[in-house]
Amino acid sequence: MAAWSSSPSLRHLLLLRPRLPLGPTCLAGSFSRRHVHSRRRRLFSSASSSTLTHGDAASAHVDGDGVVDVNPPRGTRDFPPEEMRLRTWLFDQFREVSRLMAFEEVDFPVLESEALFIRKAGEEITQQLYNFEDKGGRRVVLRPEITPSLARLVIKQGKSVSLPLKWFTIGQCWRYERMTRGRRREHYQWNMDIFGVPKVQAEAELLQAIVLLFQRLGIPSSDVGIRVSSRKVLQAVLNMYSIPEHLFTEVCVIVDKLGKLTREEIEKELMSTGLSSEAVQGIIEVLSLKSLSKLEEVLGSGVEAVADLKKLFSFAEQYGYADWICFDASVVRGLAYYTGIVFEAFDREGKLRAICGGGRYDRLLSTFGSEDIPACGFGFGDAVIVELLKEKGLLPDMPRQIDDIVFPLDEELEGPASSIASSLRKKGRAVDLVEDKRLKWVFKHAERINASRLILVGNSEWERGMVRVKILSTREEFEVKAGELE
Amino acid sequence: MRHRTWLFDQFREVSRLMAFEEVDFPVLESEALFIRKAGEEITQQVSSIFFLYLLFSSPSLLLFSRKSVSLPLKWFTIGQCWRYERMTRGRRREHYQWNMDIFGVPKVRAEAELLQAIVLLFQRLGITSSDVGIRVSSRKLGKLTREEIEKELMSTGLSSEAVRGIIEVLSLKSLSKLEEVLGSGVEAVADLKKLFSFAEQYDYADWICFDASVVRGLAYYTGIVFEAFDREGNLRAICGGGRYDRLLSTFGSEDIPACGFGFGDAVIVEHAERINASRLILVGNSEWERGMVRVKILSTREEFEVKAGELE
Repeated sequence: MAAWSSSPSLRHLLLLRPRLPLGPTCLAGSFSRRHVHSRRRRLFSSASSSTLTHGDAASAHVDGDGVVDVNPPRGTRDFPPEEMRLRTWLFDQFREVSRLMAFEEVDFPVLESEALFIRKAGEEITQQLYNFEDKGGRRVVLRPEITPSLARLVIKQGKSVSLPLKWFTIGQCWRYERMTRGRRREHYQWNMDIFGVPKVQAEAELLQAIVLLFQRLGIPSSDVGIRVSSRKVLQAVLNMYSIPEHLFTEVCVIVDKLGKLTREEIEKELMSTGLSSEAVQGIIEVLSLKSLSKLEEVLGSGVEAVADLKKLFSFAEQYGYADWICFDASVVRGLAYYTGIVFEAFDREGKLRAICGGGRYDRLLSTFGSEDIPACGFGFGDAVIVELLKEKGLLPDMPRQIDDIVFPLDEELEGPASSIASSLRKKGRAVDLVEDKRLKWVFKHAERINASRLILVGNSEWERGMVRVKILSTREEFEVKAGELE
Repeated sequence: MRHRTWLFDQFREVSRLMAFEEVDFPVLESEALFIRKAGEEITQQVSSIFFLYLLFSSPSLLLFSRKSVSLPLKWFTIGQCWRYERMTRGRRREHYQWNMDIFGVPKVRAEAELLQAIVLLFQRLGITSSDVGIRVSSRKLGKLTREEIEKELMSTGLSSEAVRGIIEVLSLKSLSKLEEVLGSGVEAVADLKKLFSFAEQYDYADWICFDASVVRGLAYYTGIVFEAFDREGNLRAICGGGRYDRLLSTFGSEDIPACGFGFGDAVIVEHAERINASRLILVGNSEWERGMVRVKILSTREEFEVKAGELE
């Protein structure tokens, strides 16, 4: 339902940041002509599109020649320098763990074909797609998750792909949700995936990556845990009650809401899929199990679910992270395509949402028309972990850091200041060339940006071919020959 | 991906050496930012617009009070940019772009710093001033085309060869000739003289040249403009930028002097591949700090270190 007024304002439309025109007029000219023309077309196609709602248009205050809306689009974030430093630090942690685990980095377009995410399984993720129609009439979407893109790339590589593949990526994911809940519409997500390893060893590796990350951040196993279960548990229960195969995914998605809906509501939803009340009770009972031995009792020891989980826990002992994980049959995760072990990290105080989650998905590729390859992976968002670090007082201090400030004391020395800054930069030093400020400001600035040295270019020294160097930490000061500055 | 990471690392390292801070913005923006009035070309809004956007939206800058903003600001970002174009031309719809912008420095010093960043980047990639050049001009020259300037110069009695020499080389000699022809009151010439003098001090004078044609197609620039090009004659610019002192007022705010450039990830890679096709130039951090690069001749597999400035 589009919130159009009688004279729809184009100003509230969102678009993907345009490319910058560099060089020849023809590029610039053709780009603008096409855009102006299609603006009109898009207006009509949007009006009929149910997904381009602009209820949040209220936030944009552009009228006539007024000030443009200074906020980023609803639910999105800007990253000014300080926030950017924190983000870079966090992503560096992701990258370092990925490197230690010997994964390779990959990337994909944030814009994907909507078809990649049409799953009709009632998942929350596919009901909140940030989708729209592009100017060619194609349905596209800002990806809500990364796994399908990954699968797409694996399929694309075809027979030439050399398994196993261990890939990671850090990318932005989007959702369209009513802003009444004050939720974000985008987040960054670190994903690690292993293709071509059918055995539980793969899940064990992924869990090590997660534990390594927590350890690097200084978070102990007393603060955070990882609940583990397997979709095969639910599968086994459904088999026990002879529930048809095609209901499996639906049941998983409903059961995933156990924390969010009441037991009665879950039971009601399960019944509405056609399950007998007996089956529903059986499911609910099994889901409350928190001991593997109990599970074995209920399902029997020959069952794959039990064997997989036992294997995983044995690996955990070997890897040394057994105290981080626990069995919890209620973990099914909300994505339709998981087929085996699933897991999610949580804060033991119970204040935050899941920190990360993942599992095995051996039959995703066939839903894209390709041959299946065993696969498993996880997604780790950038929001909850930061909240957790804040809670625990573990957010690092990320100040700026510069090597040298070069400051000409007189205007006519701007030339020499240039050559000094230039040669220091060529030697690998980060140099801030400052001008038109009082010396007092320069000292304050040096403190603000954590400069190591202040290099003053003054007339009397320069006449002798020298500059004055001040080591800011010790306050030592001495003259150096300009040509010998390192 | 490894190549992309390597390239972006070069962007980041140069930004660090120049003491710029990294920022980022949502790839999805309000269209209002790029379309002001019906009919006005979007290209006139596109440039470092999202920088201005951040300038507004960053908490400490929201009200844009001079007291809370600590100028100058030196920011860089590497982000993905998009366009919708008919695919018959086989053109890409997205590219990554490294942007560097300086806010609050009205003097030509800012442009000089930006040019140093570009030259440093090329040097780190093993590209030399004989491979690539940077054309510089000024919007203050008005709509004077290269032909018109040539005509003016010829009318003083110079041969067409001499005229070409003046136009193609940004040197004190050429600038004084230009001054003769255009009048000494012309701000453009004063700016360019200043820039050239900086170029000598920064030691990148052999990279830049004057070319009046650079001003076209970049309507929002107000002063010095520049673009890097492949000397072999490939038409697409490698990067480009300039001064845009009056863009903020078009968004309803007070103007701040600003200049910056955008450097895409596509042309440079093609370019580097072509140049490096016969030789592989590896620049590692340890070599760089000693002012050296490692060169590998692919045919003979010889490998040796060369002073970065002496790369032939």
